[in-house]
Amino acid sequence: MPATVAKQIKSKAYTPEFDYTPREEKEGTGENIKKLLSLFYQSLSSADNEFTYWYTRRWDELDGSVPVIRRAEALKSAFEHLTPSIWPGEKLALQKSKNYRGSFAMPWIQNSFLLKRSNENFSGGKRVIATGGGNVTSDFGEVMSVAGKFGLRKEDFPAYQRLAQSWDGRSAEAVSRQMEELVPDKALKDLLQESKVSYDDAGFTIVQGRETMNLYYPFQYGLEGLVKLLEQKRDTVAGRADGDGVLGMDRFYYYQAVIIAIRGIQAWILNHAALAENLAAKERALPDDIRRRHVVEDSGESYADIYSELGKTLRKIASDKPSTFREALQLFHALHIAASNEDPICGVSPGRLGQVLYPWFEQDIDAERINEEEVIELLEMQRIKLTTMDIFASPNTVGGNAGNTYNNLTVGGLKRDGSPAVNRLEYLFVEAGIRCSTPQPTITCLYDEKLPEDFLLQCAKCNKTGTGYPAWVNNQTSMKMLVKHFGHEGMTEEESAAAAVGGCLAIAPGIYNTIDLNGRKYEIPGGAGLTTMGGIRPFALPKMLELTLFNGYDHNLKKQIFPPHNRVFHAYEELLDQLKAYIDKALDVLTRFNNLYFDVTRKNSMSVINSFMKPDCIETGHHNGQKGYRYNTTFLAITSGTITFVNSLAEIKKLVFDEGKYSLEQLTDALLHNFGYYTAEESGSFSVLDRRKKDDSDQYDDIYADCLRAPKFGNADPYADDILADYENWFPQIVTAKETLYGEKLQVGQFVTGHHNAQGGVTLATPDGRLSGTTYTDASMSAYPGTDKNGPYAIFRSATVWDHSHTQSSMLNLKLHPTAISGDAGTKKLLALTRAYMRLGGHHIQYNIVDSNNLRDAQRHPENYRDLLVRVSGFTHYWCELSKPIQDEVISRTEYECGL
Amino acid sequence: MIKSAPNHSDCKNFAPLDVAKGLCRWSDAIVLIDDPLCPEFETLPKCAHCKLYADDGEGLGKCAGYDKPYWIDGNFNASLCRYFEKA
Repeated sequence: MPATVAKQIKSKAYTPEFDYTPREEKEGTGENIKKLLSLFYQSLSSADNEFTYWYTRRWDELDGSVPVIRRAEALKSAFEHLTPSIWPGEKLALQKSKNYRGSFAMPWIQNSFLLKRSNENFSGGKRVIATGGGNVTSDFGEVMSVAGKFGLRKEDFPAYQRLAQSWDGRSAEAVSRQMEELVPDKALKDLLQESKVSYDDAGFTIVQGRETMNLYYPFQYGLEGLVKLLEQKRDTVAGRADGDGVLGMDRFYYYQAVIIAIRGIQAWILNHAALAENLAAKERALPDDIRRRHVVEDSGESYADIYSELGKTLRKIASDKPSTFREALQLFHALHIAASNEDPICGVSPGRLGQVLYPWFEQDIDAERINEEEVIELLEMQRIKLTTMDIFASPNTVGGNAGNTYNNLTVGGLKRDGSPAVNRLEYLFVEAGIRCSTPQPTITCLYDEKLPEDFLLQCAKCNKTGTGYPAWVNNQTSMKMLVKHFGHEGMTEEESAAAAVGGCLAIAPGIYNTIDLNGRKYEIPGGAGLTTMGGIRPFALPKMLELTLFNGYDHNLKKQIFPPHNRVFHAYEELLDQLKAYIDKALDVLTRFNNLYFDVTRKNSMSVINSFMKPDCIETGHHNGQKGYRYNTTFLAITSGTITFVNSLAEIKKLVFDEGKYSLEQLTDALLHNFGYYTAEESGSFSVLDRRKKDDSDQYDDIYADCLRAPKFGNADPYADDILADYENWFPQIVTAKETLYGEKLQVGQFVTGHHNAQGGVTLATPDGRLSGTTYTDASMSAYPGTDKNGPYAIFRSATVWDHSHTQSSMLNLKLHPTAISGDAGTKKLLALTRAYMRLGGHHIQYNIVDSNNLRDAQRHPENYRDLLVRVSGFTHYWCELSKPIQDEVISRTEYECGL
Repeated sequence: MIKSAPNHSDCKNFAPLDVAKGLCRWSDAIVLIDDPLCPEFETLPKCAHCKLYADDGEGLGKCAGYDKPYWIDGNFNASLCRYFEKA
């Protein structure tokens, strides 16, 4: 199929090769949404140079200026010059760039990967970016593939190249690389990253994200009112230190910088308003026969009227506080895209948007300015617009996350007074997610016992359509965690209710503000914390065990990573001590280098746009780099392969030390020889279900069988579960002893996106029987595929042997066959299952409701499944845009058909 | 690199979907950027059309607008440029 041609959605005439039970049918959506969604399905990930060029040009013009002013001027120039695009039928406008699925490079952050033409050298070498869907992974016609995933017009390449090269030696990455040469342990840091114990995710890969937005200031004041407020603040602090001899004077520059950035955003919005007005005028000038065709089929609305209304909405929100629900949604969307264009960003999430927009919704519904069907249509449009977002970052980063942008929308939870926060608009957000199933925004339900039953059932019904959302997060556990982590920064139990999920699964701290709308007061929650992207992500626990077992040597790289420990282990505890020592050293080194990278980045690429919306930047005059945000204990060491690691420790403890059936030498020999099986790379399959044994080898059969039979997590078996509980005690102690660049404790994050694939790809066989090169166990509380023999409730028991409020966001994926929860009774069963886990204190659970044969058929015939969604880890994604190892891993997950 | 001939993405009636295609507002059809142009083609102002643009002979050009002269790609859309003057 030529790459320029639209990929098709499964045709009705198609007969699957594999028999499967389909997911439950969802209710249909309108023609306008179908048409816009169809445009997305046909669109390729596309890059252009407009934003990059105008940012760079203005930055260079202002050489020598105050950094924050220079940064704001560069952003303003970039926004002012973005070519506006609006497509017929759109009632919500603005996207990252001129293309429907457009994005652009940010070489001022990282430029080394931009000109690499091959995907081979990225991310441990391989298999990180899928070739399907909208990904442009090879050249065609007048289009080049750049950065592993994006199409670029050939005529745009000279400028792209010049822009990339112009940041040599001065990008955040380049400066970080210069400075890190002076930091002790540089050689070890390089080896740790080369071995993929951790990735070079840092201040020069994804700078902001996994946090939630705060809309209070723009919604309360409007952009023009906010500029006036900022001018007053700027004038008040001009030339005054006010007792702060270090940062006091910086407030003046910061306030001016925010004003400049807002002017750029306003110009960008107004350019779109002018285009909408122009298109409306053109439509009205068309001959009658054409004009009659230019209508939405089912509603009869004319394109002329849609453009006209859009123009008015955009013109209004460019300056004023929103008056209607539609204006409020459009202003949110504008600011969301604006914040997302500020940096390579992943997961600056909408947060509790249903509560933020509720004042406008309620007043519009009461006044009959809008009805619920119209609201749902707007929310469906928002889903499409957010799904068109791509993140332009290195293939390491994009591949690890499958390119997902993690616009997480949180529903449910409680209000400050402890009453349920669910409102009618949140029902409609879920309904829009059912009718228009797209990866963005993903939805999280903050589960609380107080939430209305019909709302929870609506969420379960949404799960059953196979969207993977909403994920379920335990509100009470989250609130407890927030007080533990952020209490010293002022977090109270009351305010912990304002939290939302940022990115895939980080619980982002929030605060409450009061909005005044037409004389009525509404308390709205909003994000108040720094990015959780900083820190170590992801930290490959099975790889650390491998290095311990092999005396610090990486057989995949054929390099000595750690100095050899040369210890002979006579007891499990001795092995564990060495493992902890290596982990401690690795975390210490990685933390120090990540601190350096983020520090370099915050000096020239501080947040101006996202920060002005976050408490307490406007109050204090300090941006994110100056600890202007309310909560700063957000940096995480995110673990990968937890259960592979725990199971492996259980096997070692039992077979080597407790029973003495095998020596450690026998075990490591078996691991090195992959138990006599072909590696994933050799067999071409990354699934644990497709083991291929070498013909000439039965040497390792006994040890392999014993490893597979040994106790495994997920069966309510205390032998394995005790090891998990022990790990959950000692690992956070090591992590929290590390200090971030903000002077706060590093914290543990227990969620992984797609790195369990890439890191598994460079890890030998593990003592739990996992074969070399195959993925680690997904998430952090999921059982290894096929090893959970006692049903989901046994997994719940195993997973809750420790206190989940102790660390950030444990994660559990469960795959259910559609027949297991069919009909209304099945919906209730699904909710009961969820509730059971939450009541045990589980922090998070999410579902893939799918017949694995459906996925097998889609893997074999992707051209028929452009719109098929699956839940991977903290994200829902199009099946065809997942790499084969991740597809294999999702297929191989245990599928529960009954016994729920 | 200035294109040897205009394509659909240079037309005022074109709404870009991606690097390969877009929506033609005139025909209501999705067109490939590099397909032959139709008689309704209406050119967008490009930097290369501007009096302040000078080709540097190396595939890019020089823009004398704004505060300081700077290199530029002549293919850029100039419709938002306050200094654009048709050559």
